[in-house]
Amino acid sequence: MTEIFYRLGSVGEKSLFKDMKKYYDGIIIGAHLLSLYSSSIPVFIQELEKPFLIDPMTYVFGRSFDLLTKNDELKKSFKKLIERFEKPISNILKNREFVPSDFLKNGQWNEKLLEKFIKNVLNLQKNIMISSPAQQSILEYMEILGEAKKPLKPKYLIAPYFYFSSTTDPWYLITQEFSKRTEKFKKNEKIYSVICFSKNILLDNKEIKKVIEDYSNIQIDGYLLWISDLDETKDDQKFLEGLVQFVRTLAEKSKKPIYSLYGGYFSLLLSKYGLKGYSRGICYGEAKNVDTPTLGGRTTKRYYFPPIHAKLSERKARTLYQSNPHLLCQCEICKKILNKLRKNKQKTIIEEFFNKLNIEQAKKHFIATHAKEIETITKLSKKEIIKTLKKDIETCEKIQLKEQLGIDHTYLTRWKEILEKY
Amino acid sequence: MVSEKYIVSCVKKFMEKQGFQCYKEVKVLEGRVDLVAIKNKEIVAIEAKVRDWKKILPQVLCCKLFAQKVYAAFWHKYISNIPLQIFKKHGIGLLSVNRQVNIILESRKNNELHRSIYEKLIKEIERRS
Repeated sequence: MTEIFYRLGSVGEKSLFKDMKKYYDGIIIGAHLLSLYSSSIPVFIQELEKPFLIDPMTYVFGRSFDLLTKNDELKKSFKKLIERFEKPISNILKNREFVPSDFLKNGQWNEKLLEKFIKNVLNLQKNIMISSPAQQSILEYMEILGEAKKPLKPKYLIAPYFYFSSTTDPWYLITQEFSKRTEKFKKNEKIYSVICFSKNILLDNKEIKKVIEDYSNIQIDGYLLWISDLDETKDDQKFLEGLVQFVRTLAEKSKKPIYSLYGGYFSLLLSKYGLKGYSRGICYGEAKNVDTPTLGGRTTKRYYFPPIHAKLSERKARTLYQSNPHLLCQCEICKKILNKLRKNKQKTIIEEFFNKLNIEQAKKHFIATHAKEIETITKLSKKEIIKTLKKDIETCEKIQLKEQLGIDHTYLTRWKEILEKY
Repeated sequence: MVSEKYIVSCVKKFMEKQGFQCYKEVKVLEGRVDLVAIKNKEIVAIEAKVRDWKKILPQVLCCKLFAQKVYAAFWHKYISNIPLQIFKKHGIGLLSVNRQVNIILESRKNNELHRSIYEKLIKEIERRS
């Protein structure tokens, strides 16, 4: 089954993760958020008992310093993260972003900085969950009770990474060097590389070939892909075809697991080409640009509409279902609300449904519905998936989604064509 | 070239002459409505475009959640390009604007109102006035 790891967007989402535990495979937490809530998040992860990953977020230190600041001061979460690094890393990052020459100058590696950075980033992932006083107390208490728990360990570690715009970008060499040298710091744990690059690389076969060639030669346990700013629903088919080729070739050549760091339904379809899983936020974060500021989980009510495999604003969802009540969702969350309403509110059922559905329930509906999608796609062959996409397109046309709600669903046709072609 | 803003201001004057209180750029749920006109607790929502009826249709249809009457307003030169039957089918009225405002198609009284949103909007308008 294709694995889904949801990203913790804010600590406010903790109950959502607990309540919907059976619907996902794991959780991914940004190291900055974890540094800010280093007492409460480990306790939550211990209770959750799900596999977890820590995204070291190192790419952000290679982008504009503005991403780290708010009103000219370091954002609290990044300040806490930077404080966890040793000098001179912490001193540099308190004042400016990294530049390639910090690590590579005139063809020479800055051995000390390079190795210290790798060590710091890996140690942070190994230790942050077990080093907080609250976590220590829990472990001691459990031991007294004779219920000793294993210290929290990420499913695998993630090597430091930066974004590269092409294979001639100096960050390309640097980020690969990080992955190559992680071997030295490795004990029993698995370490994955993040391959984070510009979507324009997907349009260039030579570039794709080089990235795959170089990365498949690195002694690493797996890969996490992040194609910056790639929008599965908006970008041209050529980008998506490039992505299919990339995933398929890397999977064949490396024989190692590949996950996508940000992805939506198309990433799920990529499981047919070798993608083992993907991560995203709960009803947000299907795509991310490296230069977009890191925000918490969304707080507006959005409703996931399965035929388009995307979410609708509340206004559009109400309008859509008002004319098409037969399309109302049958997931456990929606069913529960509807069953209460059906007794006496038949006439105003759509209005009442959306009045009752709060943001948390809308997110839960997404998790439950998406889990169903994952289960379905895992079971189906490519041919059968093409059929389901055709059916989705027919539904959208029948309800005149584009004309009446201004929702462009032509990406469904693009996805279908890609599946037919590859 | 005439602007959407100009069309809205012409419609606003027109509605005010008929005794409506008018509010521009009113936020409803996560969107904004170009003009909301209100008289005796009856809400009329108006969206304006110079010519692009395909863009306006989704906007006016969403207005049916909170307005008893809904209109789409266009610059008069382009009104002949608008497929009346589509707007008629959805009960959306049409206004042709050329300083003066002409009603080309009356809005049907809407019975798909989501009362909770309508009431919120009434409250918001009362707060403003």
